[in-house]
Amino acid sequence: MNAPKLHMNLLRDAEKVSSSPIRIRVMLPIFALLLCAGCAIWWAILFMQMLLLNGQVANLKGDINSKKAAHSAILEEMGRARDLQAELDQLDAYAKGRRTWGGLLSKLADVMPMNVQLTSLSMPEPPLQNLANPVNPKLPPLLGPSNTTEAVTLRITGRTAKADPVTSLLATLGKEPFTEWLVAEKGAANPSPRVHSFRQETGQSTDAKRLLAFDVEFRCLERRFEK
Amino acid sequence: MSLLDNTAPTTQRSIFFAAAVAGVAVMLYIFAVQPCQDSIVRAKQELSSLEDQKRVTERDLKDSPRVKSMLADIEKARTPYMEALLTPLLESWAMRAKSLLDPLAADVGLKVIDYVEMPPRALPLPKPAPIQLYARRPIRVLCRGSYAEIASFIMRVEKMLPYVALQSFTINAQNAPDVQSATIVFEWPAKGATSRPPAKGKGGAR
Repeated sequence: MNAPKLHMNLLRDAEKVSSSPIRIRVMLPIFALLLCAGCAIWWAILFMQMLLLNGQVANLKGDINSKKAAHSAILEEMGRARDLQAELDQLDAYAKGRRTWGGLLSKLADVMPMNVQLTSLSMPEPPLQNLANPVNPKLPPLLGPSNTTEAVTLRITGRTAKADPVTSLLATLGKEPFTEWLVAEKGAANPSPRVHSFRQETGQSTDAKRLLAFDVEFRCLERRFEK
Repeated sequence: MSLLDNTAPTTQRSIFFAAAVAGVAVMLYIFAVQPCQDSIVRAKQELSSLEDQKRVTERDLKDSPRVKSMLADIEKARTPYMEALLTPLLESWAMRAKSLLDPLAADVGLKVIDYVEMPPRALPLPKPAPIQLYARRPIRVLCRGSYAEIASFIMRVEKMLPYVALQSFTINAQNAPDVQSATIVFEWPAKGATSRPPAKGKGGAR
């Protein structure tokens, strides 16, 4: 027997579109509740993490604060050490720029030829420092010179009866031990010694000899104000 | 709304309920999760910065003995300079120079006529520049004596005052061969200007 294929469709239109056996009216609240629960769990995890981090931050802050006084003291000492080191560097530079000249004066007397009479011996003052601001002269002057060296010269003027003793004196001054102070450079752009004048004096000496007056300048080792 | 009109009341209720719960979830995200995330990011940044600060603090504290020893060495190296600094006597630099040089001149028999203060000369600035700067303080000494006395005087000054430097000199012959007139400029290290006002609470006593 064949049963008739007739049956009644009791589904509503809204229910027809769903192929799922679970109804949407059941699924939607479940998904929404799951979403809400997920958010709550997420927040709870984050909140715990935040509490943990805040605890670590508070611990670190406490630790740092406990060492703050000692750290400030050591920082102050570091700053002081830096400042004093800079002062020492400047004073060391001064000490490096110091030269002794007593030995030269003493040795000069020993090598002076018999026929030479010095009338003047001088080491001229260095030129005044120019501390004007190179960018704008109206700005406050610089606190220190930009160059660390200072040229030094020794000028010898005197009289002699003949030229030979002076030539001999200049040759002596160009050798040891005078090279410790004086520079001997012939043929250079700025030769040392430089003969400013070597001329016959107009006046007569007591023994009626005609004398030669000389004026010679030696370049000396420059002063270096460097550490 | 027409779609809802055709749905069963139970389905409608469940949709409204789901929407309300989803709303709560969104609110939870906006007002709880997101601020919490922001706080965590900030806390992590703060933690990282504090960890750096702690590392630096511990490193500095560990360095403390070395800094103290370095400071002691610097102070020790600086002491001879401090003792050699020219300081004014009765507000006069020349008076102080006179008090130091007169005995040395007398020892060699040199007659000192006058002491004259000259403008100070700045020293090159080290980097970094110290707060207290030092300068060269020249004093001109006018004297009379033989060449040997003048040379001995200069040698004696250079030996007895190891931080005094001869800046310049002129020895001129006079009529009497045993008496020369000399102008000698000696310079001392001395306190100069300050490069900047000292930082508050830093630097300590000098």
